Amino acid sequence: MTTNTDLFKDRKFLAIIGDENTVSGMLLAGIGQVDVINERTEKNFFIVDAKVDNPMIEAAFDNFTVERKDIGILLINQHVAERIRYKLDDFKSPFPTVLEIPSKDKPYDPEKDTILKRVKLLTGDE
Amino acid sequence: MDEIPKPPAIDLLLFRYLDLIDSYMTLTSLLTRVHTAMHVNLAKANFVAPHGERFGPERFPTTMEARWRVDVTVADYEPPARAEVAEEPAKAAGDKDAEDESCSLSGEDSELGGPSILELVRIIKLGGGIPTFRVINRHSEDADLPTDRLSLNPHRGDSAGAGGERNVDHAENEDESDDSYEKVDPFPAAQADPGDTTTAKAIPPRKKPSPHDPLFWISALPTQTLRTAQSQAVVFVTEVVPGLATVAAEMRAVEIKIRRLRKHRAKGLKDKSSQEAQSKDVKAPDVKPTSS
Repeated sequence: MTTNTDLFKDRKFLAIIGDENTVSGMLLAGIGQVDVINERTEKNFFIVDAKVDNPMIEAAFDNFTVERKDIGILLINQHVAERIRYKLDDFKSPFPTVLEIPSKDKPYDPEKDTILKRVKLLTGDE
Repeated sequence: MDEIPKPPAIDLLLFRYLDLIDSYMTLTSLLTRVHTAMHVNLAKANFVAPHGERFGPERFPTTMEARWRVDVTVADYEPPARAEVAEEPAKAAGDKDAEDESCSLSGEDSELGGPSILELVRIIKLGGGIPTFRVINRHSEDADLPTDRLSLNPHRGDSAGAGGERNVDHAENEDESDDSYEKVDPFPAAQADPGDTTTAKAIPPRKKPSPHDPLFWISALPTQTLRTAQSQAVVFVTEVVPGLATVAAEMRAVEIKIRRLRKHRAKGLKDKSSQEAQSKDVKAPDVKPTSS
């Protein structure tokens, strides 16, 4: 495990990819950060509604995990994570930490959680 | 030849890993409860909002600044140390009120017969993990956040929904006796009788809404349910999420260690068996077939 401080010293924001209700709650808590850089708006949240397709979610995920270096924790609704599951499975970097959270309509299912899948893998390959 | 690691090293790590899995599951259930309660209160706030208004993302300003920041500290795996919930800006600023609020927060639920969320997170958040995540306030003047109105006790109510509803009531009752946080009083002058000095004294001075508080970005006179939803969202963000992130990171670190030790052990065993095979070959007499 690396202890290089460059990996995490600027990771000061939480980001979220989720449905409208979850994002509203998180914005109400005060995690929202919107910057305008070179006439381009950069938000740390991405709302997934009926119009959003999988490539857009993938792009948001890549933006928060690969392109942006200021995200420390990424929250993602589990039903949204299911749509880009292979991306989450491939994501091995320690930063940002990706956490799956339930949504208003879909309860949390431990069977689908990436971290608990890793547990199965570790305890099953002895 | 590499020394074969003793089996207890892996066993100890696996034991630790099981502990972490348990913590992860407990925190996940806590997360679900807080999240559900937050949604219930947000839905209630939307229901009672005038003119069919909704408190959705579109209500927030187009440019905003996060009031919480993630603080990551990376320590060596050993020796284990206990992670604490960060409330540094409040303490640094000497904000006594905020300190008192955090104390009452941990105390009030204990009186009801179970540990509060903060206590539970402190117990669960196992130290020694790398990295340790904390979510702290960026603005010291915002230190008196509405976490003092934390209303969710994991030991109250069997189902998340029922627990959430009961806790809303609890939060409302609690708020009646809580003067530390600003209360929205739409008709302060009408209620107070000018001749009655005792009533005038009883009204606490209203605090100005903080410019960093998202509650006042979306509503000039936020309802009680909206405030409660915000309190729960703040607990979600500042307590449960960093706890989960820390446990997840430690799980990853332990996983890596276990895998390395397993590889090391397998390699050691392979080397040992090959050496034994070689020594057997050396000891065995060479019997050459005689050609007639």
